[in-house]
Amino acid sequence: MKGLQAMKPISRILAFLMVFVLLLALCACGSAPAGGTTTGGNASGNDQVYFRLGFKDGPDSLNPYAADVTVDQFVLSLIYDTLFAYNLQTGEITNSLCTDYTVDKNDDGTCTWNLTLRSDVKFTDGQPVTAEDVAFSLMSAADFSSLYSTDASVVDTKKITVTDATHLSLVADNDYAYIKECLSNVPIVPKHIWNQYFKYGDNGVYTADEDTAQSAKEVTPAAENMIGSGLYKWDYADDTCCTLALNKDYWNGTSDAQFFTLTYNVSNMLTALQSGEIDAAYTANASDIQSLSGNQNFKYVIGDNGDYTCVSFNCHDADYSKGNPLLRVPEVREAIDRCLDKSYIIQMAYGNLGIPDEGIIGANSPYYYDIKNYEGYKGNNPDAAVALLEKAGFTYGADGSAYTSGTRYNADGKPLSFNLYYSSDNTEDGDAATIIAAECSKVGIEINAQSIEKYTLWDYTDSYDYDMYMIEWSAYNDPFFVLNYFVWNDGANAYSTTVDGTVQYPGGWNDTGWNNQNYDALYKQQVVMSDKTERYPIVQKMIQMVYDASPISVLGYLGYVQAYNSAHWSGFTQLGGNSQGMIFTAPIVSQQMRQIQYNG
Amino acid sequence: MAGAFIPPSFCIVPKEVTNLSQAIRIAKKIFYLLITIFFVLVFNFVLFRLLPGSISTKMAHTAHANATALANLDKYYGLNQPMVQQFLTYFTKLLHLDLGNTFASYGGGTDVWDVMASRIGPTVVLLGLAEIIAFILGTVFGVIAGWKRGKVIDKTLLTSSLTFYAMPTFWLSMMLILIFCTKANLLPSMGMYTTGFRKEIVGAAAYYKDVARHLILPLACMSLGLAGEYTLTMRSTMMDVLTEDYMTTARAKGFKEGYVLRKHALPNAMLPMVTLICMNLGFAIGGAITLEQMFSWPGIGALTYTAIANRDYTLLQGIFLLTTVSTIVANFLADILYGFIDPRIKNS
Amino acid sequence: MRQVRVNDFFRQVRENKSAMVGVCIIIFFLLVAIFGPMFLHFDVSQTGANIRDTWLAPCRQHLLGTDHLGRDLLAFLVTGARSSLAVAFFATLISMIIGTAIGIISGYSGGWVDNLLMRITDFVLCIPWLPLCMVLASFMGTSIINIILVIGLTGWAGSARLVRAQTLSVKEMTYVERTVSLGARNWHIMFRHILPNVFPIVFANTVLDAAGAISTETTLSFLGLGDPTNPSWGMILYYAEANNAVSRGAWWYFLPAGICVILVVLGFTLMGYAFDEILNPKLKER
Repeated sequence: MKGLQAMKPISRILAFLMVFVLLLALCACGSAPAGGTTTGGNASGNDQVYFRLGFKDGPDSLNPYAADVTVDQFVLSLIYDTLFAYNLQTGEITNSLCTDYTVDKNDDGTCTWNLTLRSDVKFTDGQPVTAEDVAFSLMSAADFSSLYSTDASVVDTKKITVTDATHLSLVADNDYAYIKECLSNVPIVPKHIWNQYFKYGDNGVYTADEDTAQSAKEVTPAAENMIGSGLYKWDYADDTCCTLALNKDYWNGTSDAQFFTLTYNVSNMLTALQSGEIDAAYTANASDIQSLSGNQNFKYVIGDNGDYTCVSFNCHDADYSKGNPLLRVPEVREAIDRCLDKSYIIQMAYGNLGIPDEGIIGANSPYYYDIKNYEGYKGNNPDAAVALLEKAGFTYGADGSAYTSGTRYNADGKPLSFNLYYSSDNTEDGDAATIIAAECSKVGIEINAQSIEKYTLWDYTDSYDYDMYMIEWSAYNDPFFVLNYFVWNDGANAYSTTVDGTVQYPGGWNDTGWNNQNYDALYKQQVVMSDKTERYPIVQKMIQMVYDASPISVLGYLGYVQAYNSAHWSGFTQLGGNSQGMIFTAPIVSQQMRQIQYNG
Repeated sequence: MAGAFIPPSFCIVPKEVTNLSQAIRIAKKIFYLLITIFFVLVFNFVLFRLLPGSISTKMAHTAHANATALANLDKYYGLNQPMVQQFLTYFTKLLHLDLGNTFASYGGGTDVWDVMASRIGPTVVLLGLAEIIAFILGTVFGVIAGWKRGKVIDKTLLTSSLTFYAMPTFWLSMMLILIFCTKANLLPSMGMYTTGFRKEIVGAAAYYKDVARHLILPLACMSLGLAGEYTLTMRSTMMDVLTEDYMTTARAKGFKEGYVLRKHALPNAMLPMVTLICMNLGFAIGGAITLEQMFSWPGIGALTYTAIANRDYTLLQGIFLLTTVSTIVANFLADILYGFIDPRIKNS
Repeated sequence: MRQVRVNDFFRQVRENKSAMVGVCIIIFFLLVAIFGPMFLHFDVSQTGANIRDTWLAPCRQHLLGTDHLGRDLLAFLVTGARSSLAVAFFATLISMIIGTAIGIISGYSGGWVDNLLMRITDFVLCIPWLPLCMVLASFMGTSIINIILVIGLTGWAGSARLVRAQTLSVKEMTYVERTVSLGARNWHIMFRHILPNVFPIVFANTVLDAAGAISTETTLSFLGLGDPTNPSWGMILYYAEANNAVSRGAWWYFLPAGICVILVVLGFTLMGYAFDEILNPKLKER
């Protein structure tokens, strides 16, 4: 080869063998995977009915305090109960562990929620679920849980009062419309298992030392600590899957599936479905639809979760904002919005899995407003885009003479040239960015689409160091979350600068930098209204304000392909009972499993 | 997998044999070894901390954790301490052989050592078997090609080994999956075993048979690429050996071709091969990452990929440390042994 | 003297069959990369008119079919040749320069300089290169310049070792006395005397490094670390995998790109082996 002299003697073989042996030794001292014995009756796996749900990704951590991603959420919502839960048919949040509640408004503006709990619910180790467990779950989640801290802190967790085993009171800052929904997300974990790490005192503050408290996150999920009161209980987990066994004493029904397995890292959902390795796919690809519809053993739905994809503009008017200042000119943003053919983008980049809708609230929400009905609605119109740019003074070419082709310049010699960032792990956004660049170039706007690594992108957007970027926003059922994105200062979640001008970086979600005091005022008004007829006109006005100002350009709402093996399973209900609801999400998977039938 | 590499300096024989005693030589080598390992530690540490974003950034953006939870997270992992402080903590723990805890949790728990150990098995099985198969194929084909140099069989073997050597492993896996899984539906395309198929439930025999079925495609991909490389090496060293004087002598003495081949050519030609295998160990981890990704094979390559995505510093440090230290130590030990075994040095 | 040697070299290359095959392949792809885009019907950024234009198998209009966005794959392949070859060329150049410089300095100086440089080289060799590249690409960003830098900066260690070994043997052969005091003399010696003698083997090694660079670039792009605005063959494979071309049976998406990579790597490897045979004094007797 490249002048390899006849080199090595027997020592080379020895070296190789040594390394080999070293590695083998490491295998030997590796610990056994987490998870205990197989439960559930007869030994042979073939008699037990398994339901296998495939996921593209794997879990982060199944520990309730360290959990983060979708797979984790699924496991937790199957093992634990919550105070409130969704009704599959109506899509509304109804009582679950909590059987009744009253809300009292206090003199200082706060309000007290008085909850009554079920008295007959037990954890799988036999201990009853009491108000102490509820109080503990909320307190520890607010302080330590990655996933549920925001939801749990919707109430003041230092002011929870437990009256008896089935009654407790929570205090919230105001009668926010989203309190029930947030509370419905927090899993109720057993205090007698987890409080050893925190040792909460009477004042709602934990008294354990820092290290002990944080060590709760490091607890390896296993049968002895993942004790819940939900439909399933812990059975087994390793790097490839997590299996849960049916809780036969569940208070709210049972399921045909004695075992529920979450299969991780399925790189090819279609193949896995067809070969029987999984019974259902959490998200399949758009490209699988053709094969699925041709096969009578499989059915699929395209569900809408209220998630929309958009291009976000940096229009922040401050010294520390490093975005291109031309984006602060509203005509420029509107022009970009007009020249995009959104249905084409959804069709090509997102596999035609989506609804090209331009309002910030999706069609599956009771507060949906079809922006096409708005008198100020403009739609896709490249000529109008050109007109806007000319009106804003971009009528020059690169050499200062009149514009003929290429990129437009203004009188100061500034070109319409912007960066468009997208996350490097999102190929659909990348495709959309390619198309956006092509369409904008037709009206004289130059877009440089750049793929940025996820964390770096967050750094950029958090510090206003970007021009445009692609992002998907997910939604709560209650519109407060999507509306909050555009709030600048609502007193609680907001971006602000301090009085002496020193910059304070992000506290809220608004990374466009758009701020409008009227919008903020309307937000504060509607967030405490629970009566839909009162609230809807205000929400509508806010949607229109965002459309007019265009701090973002909404491309459309994403659909998720969820497929299942209909030869073995039937009876799936889509959330809300309509044809656009999801069949698998973390908050509804437990209800779904109680509903479907096994056909053998 | 094509790549140009030369073994580290520990392996190259110093041209001039020194007058120092063997003990001092070894001590010097150990000293250099420790220095290199220390550099690796510092480099490891700094590299991952340079990456933008940390576990709390991730939690803020994906889980929408609130400020208290994030602050508690940072405090616990010591991420709010100055860099030097963090390094000292890391280094002290290392001296106690404690690699720390991972940020996310994987199947093996949260202790870095345990997590890595639980993943090494599948990788070793895959790499080990692939190396063995490639070694056998490489030796056989290389000998044939070298022995019959210039003939048709040599040209065929040469071309096909060059092709497999040049082929990206992941492309080969795409082709194999297309043929065997998509079109023919003969073999499984992902994972190490069918989910739900656990030893306790279906029994050891069925379990191992299932694993074997899942092993076929990744093994084929990995060994074909390596086999190409080994064939080329073997062929070239065979050609070298065959022109040596002692070969002509043996033939002149009238020994049969097969005997000459077995007794004289093969042993000498084998040596560079073994060097190659040893060196491949470190570089094979790279091939294993893409391969394990393609086939969802739960080995250490897939773990590296996930760890980078999770910004799991401690785990990444552990993995890098493991691979670099084992390469360094293996070379070092070989070098020491060389000093003992090679008569040229001993008798100086 | 040098001119004769160069002519001699070219003559030997022309006589060596496998070298000629390699040279022809590389020249072919260079021509495609430089002139190809002028003859294309479709622009690589032209997405399909609607969803019916996506995932088309090879047909009269699109000789290699279309991808998931309806872009012509032949155009993609031809434009990709530019990126792939450019990365290979520049990355190899960087690693050759660094490797040669370090090798010569290390071999010539000896002593603590040699030791230090060799420790650093060991260090770079021992780190698993793919995770290192992934980590570097993560925070350096994915522009084509960064990819070139990443590959170049991690691939010089092998050359350095080789050059050092060669320098050591050249050093023995020359009659030059080492002057301790005047630094200028040393540089003069290194570049006027050692480098020309070391160069042949460096050249052969560089060609093989180029093969490695293409492989590395393809792997990095496949893992999503390539530059999307300068799509290379590895990016085609990345898009193919990301859009499940394999399970759709869309062989036209990934088969041509893979074949191109194989051919180019093959070309460089054949050339490299042949050059090595011709230029490496130790192999001459075979």
